[in-house]
Amino acid sequence: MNPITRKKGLTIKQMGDEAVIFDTESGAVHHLNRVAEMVWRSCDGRTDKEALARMVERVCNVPEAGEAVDLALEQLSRRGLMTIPIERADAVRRMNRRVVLKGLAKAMAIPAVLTITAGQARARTLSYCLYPCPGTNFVVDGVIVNGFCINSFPCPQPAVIVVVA
Amino acid sequence: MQKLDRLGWAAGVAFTSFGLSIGVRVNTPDVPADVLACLPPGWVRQDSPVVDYLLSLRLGGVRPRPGVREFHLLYSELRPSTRTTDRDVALTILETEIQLHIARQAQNRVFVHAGAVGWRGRAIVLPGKSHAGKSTLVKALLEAGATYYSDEFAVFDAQGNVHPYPRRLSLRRPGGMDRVPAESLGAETGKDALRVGMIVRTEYRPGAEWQPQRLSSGKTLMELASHAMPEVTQTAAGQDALGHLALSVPAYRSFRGEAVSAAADILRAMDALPLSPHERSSP
Repeated sequence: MNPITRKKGLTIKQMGDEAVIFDTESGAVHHLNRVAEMVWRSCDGRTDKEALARMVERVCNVPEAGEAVDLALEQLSRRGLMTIPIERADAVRRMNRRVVLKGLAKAMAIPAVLTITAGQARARTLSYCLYPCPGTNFVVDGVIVNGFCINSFPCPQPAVIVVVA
Repeated sequence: MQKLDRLGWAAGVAFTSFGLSIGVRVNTPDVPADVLACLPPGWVRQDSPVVDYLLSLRLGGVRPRPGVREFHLLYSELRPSTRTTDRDVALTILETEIQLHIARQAQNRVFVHAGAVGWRGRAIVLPGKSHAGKSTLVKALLEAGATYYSDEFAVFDAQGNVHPYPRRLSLRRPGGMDRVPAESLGAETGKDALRVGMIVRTEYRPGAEWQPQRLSSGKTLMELASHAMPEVTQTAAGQDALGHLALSVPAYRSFRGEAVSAAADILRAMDALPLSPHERSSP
């Protein structure tokens, strides 16, 4: 069966040859680079993987883009952007894929999907320690263990973390 | 709410800010000046005591009896928010709760966690998470002659212009934090909305040099969205405003060293940017 992208619950902002997708169901925001965007846009259920690969090969001017398409589909599927989940390649295939992708890197033909989940965005905006790390004027992300912050600036005082729900 | 109401509230203030009606009640005979100082910039007192969002701050005793710890308690609506013996912590969290409510719910405005300053008629926006060095960089920019807009939230309208949110700067020092008005740094505070000239995503790294890399419009939108409230990025208005900004404003990313030299580099980069056709035609 040919891959089909999910459309429901998504708002797509086309940014040149990239796309940013707002997922109103999960609250996540996804950034698709040129190759990922091309694959995502073309997954209409009528286009098979071979045709997708030929499209990427033509646009990026590379000889063989099958692995890049597979990787893009896996990345999109893992983020819930495909209607039918696509299984992740096994370890041997992923290792072989790495070799092929190295060759595609120069042509910028590697797909990339960056995601900020709602939880990550919330953590970025809503939690922080009230005191600066020792020797600095700011707070570095750390891990709180028994009320003390453990990071590259071990802090002698109990962490005061503001986490607003 | 009835249990909370029974705690004995003696005074309060109801106000509007960015189209929202907010109240803070306290257990002291009057609302203390340091509580009023936590209210958002530009707040306007409202006559009606009926509000959409209520914070309840029970201040512990100034001189607790021996052997008794008197906590400061803060409730956001019914949710217990803070229980602390440190009054400054309680007030900081009160201010944060109010700011976050406004940032999530403000009408016709999009709040992004970012510092913002004005420079020669255009704004520089510095997205970054809370207390990650934004205020330090904003302070250095102000000392270099920039106009103060905010050290915490860049407030955008639908056209992508940035509006002032001139709260007191939060400047950390060993063992605590100072709240400093921009005027005390000799800086002017912006009054009008400004067109954004440049977005700069920067983080402090000891010894780092300023080596800006231009961000694509897609990555710029991701930066803005990741520093906006999740509630905002799920609205069409929020997505449109941020998308418009990302397409129309150049954005750069670089690690930075000390704030003073980074500020000089940023202002030089801003001066080197060409004016938009609209700006060229302005007097």
